[in-house]
Amino acid sequence: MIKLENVSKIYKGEHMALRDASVEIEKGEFVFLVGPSGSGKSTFLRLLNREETPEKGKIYVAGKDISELPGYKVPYLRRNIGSVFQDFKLLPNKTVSENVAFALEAIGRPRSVIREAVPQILELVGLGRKGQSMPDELSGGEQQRVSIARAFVNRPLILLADEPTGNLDPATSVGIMKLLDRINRTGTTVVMATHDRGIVDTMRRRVIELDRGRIVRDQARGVYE
Amino acid sequence: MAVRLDYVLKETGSNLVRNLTLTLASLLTVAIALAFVAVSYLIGTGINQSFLGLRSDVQMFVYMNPSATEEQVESVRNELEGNPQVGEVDFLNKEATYAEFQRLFEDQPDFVQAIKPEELPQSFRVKPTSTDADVVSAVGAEFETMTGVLRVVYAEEYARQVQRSLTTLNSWVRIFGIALIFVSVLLIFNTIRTAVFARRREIEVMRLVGASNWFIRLPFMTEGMVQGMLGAFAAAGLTWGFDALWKRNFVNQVSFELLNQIKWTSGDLWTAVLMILAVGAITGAIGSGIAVGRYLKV
Repeated sequence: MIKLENVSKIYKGEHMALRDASVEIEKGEFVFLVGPSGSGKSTFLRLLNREETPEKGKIYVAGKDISELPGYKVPYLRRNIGSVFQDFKLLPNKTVSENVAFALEAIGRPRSVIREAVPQILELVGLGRKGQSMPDELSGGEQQRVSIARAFVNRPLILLADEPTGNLDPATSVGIMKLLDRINRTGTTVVMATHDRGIVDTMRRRVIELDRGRIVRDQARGVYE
Repeated sequence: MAVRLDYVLKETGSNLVRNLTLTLASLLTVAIALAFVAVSYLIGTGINQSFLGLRSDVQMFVYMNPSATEEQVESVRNELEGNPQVGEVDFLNKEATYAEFQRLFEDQPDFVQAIKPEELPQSFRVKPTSTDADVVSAVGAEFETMTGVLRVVYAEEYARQVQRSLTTLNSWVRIFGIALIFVSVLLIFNTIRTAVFARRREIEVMRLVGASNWFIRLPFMTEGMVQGMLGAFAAAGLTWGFDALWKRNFVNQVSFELLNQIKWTSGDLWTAVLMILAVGAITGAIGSGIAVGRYLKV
């Protein structure tokens, strides 16, 4: 599903965010990216949805070399990749339903599809009754559920999560992880960057550790360190 | 992928309403700038037309030698009538020539006094087809060399002056108009850039979920177009008001010696209005397309 071959990413000609990284992630895997701040976790994720391009190496997503992908095709790549962030990135002036529907509108889905899919996905993330709420009326955990619903409503092949529990308390984080686990069980590949030792140690999934841009550990059913 | 029309319209409408204060502020500034563009166009046209009247006054006199024979007069007349640069030709006998001579050179009394009516030759009053001072003097020089011709007199300086001030005025009005169009373009562009900046979050999300660049751009472009056109409509209203005011206060009013000459037709008014509508719509659409482009870089 995802394959990196000797990938290097250099910012502003000096700082090496990723050095000669090679890794392969199968369809349906759940992978934690761990490592200190600035070790290259976010860069790893940003390379996968073509927000960044590598200086060296090749990146394959769903069998296609995306480092060679022309700009106009990038939107189509992103329709297969859902993204979740620490700060949710919800639109504050749209309701929960509208925020989720926005993701489908933006890729031109017909209204009949949207009308059906939005309540369904909100039910799935446990926000069936919150469709008409505004984001600022929700708790942090609920907001993150909305953002996951938005990322998953289009049923992408891959879900990228950049510290999705970074702003949440441990109890809420557990709920979010259960949701991500459930999404993973539908066959969606999940790659999640995190600092949360407790989560990694509890879930016992594959762990890739980065240090100053290098992959220093790649462990199946791994722990935080 | 087809961009859904109802989506574009919904986004355009809600964004215009959501940023109401910003929309209104930019609308007003754009309206005023575009109104100035239209007004400067009208005044420019008016000046042009008033000088057209003056220019058609340019005349030339071909004075025959008092001793010129009938044949010589006839041959000059034939030459004049056959010349493509010559429009109308009138023959004046001695008395008529003197009256005309006095009228034309009333500001040069020395010259008028030096010549007695009986000394005055017969003359042709010639209206050249072109008002270009160079053409007029070329025609004059041509006839000056014909046998029996005493001299050719034409209001050369006058023609040149009219031409010069006309050209200068015209270019000033044109420069002013272009500068104002430029200002309106910048104003529209800047407003839309602010609107786009306020919604960079939205654009970011759209990019993340895989919206194509045109899909993101289109609502902004229609928004810019609507904004530019609304501004232009307001400007058209202002222009109409200016038109009515000018017509009531200046046109054909005896008390305004120079201003009453500056007038334009309703066709000119329509041209001006259509022009600012086009400027508003096009710069609005293109300006916002460019403004959004900054946030679309992958």
